[in-house]
Amino acid sequence: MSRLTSEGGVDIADNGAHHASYTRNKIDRVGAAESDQLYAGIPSLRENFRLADPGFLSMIEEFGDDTTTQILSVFPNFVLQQIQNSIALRLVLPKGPDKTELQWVYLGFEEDTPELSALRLAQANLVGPAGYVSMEDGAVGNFIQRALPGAESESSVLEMGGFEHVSEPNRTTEASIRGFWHSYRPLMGF
Amino acid sequence: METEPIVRRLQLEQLYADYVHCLDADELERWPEFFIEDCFYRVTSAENYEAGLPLGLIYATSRNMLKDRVSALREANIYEPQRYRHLVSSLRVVGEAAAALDVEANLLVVRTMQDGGMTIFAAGRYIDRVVREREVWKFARKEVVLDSRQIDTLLAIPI
Repeated sequence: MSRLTSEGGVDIADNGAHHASYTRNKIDRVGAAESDQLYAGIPSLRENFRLADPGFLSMIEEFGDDTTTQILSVFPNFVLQQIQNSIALRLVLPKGPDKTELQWVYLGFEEDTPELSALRLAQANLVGPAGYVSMEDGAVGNFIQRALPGAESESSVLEMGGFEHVSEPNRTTEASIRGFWHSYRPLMGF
Repeated sequence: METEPIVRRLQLEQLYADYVHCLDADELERWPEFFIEDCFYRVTSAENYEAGLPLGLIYATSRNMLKDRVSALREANIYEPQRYRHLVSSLRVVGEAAAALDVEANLLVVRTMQDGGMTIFAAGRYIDRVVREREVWKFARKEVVLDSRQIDTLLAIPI
């Protein structure tokens, strides 16, 4: 579905607050053969894992830009997602030190064909609490949240690719989340 | 005395008992076998259901998609160990067509995590259609309609 050699990147606002990350899976930056070669040396968690019904992973081109995934993040708490044909608005609502609510609004359109509606609904399986792609994200966030109380004076730094937040023509970067914190910290007086 | 409704009632009670036992006993590989091949399954909220909105948190339009759910949980996804305990009650046959029955039941799921923490994870209804396939009742449709519009950040095991 997606390789890091696919065309993609992250566009970050000058102040770091907002960003859009995107992938065009059908376009490989290094070519299919070299991508295969690069990936040949990377072990999979499970070799030969196949879906019995992979139909929902097909995609209907909607916008003519070959973009297969785009996550647009608007500071501080709004996200617009396009994951294949699944289009959704996400609103992050902090409810207290130990609780955050994430509201999802999935979009379909009156002029959608039945085939496109079916894909939108099926591709909603990819994210959310039961998402094939995001199940770990939810679980890991939960682990970290539970580990924080009692460790307020501790700190750890895992750095990937420097300290700046600049747009990059690849997705192997943490620059977008650094940009978020670069805007968040002065606002909060940290 | 007409015994057929009583027999049918007992068969349906057995179906739901077997279904939730399969999930609670972590025998997920058997879960898709409770459905016909051309089935429909989704987990949604009462808010969505009552508004006639089709979205699901888990959404499947074939038994193979249910099998993929299980293989993803077993082979691909990483999530915190946990256990469900389903309580199903108030089973009602609410509609009867040629070879299908519309069945509804209340459900409650208590979830226990590896650290021992327990929550009432889900409360709601099953809104189902069952059909006979080789003398066995199977789900042609199963809609898990949750009363709350909020769901925990992790919904790994099906309901």
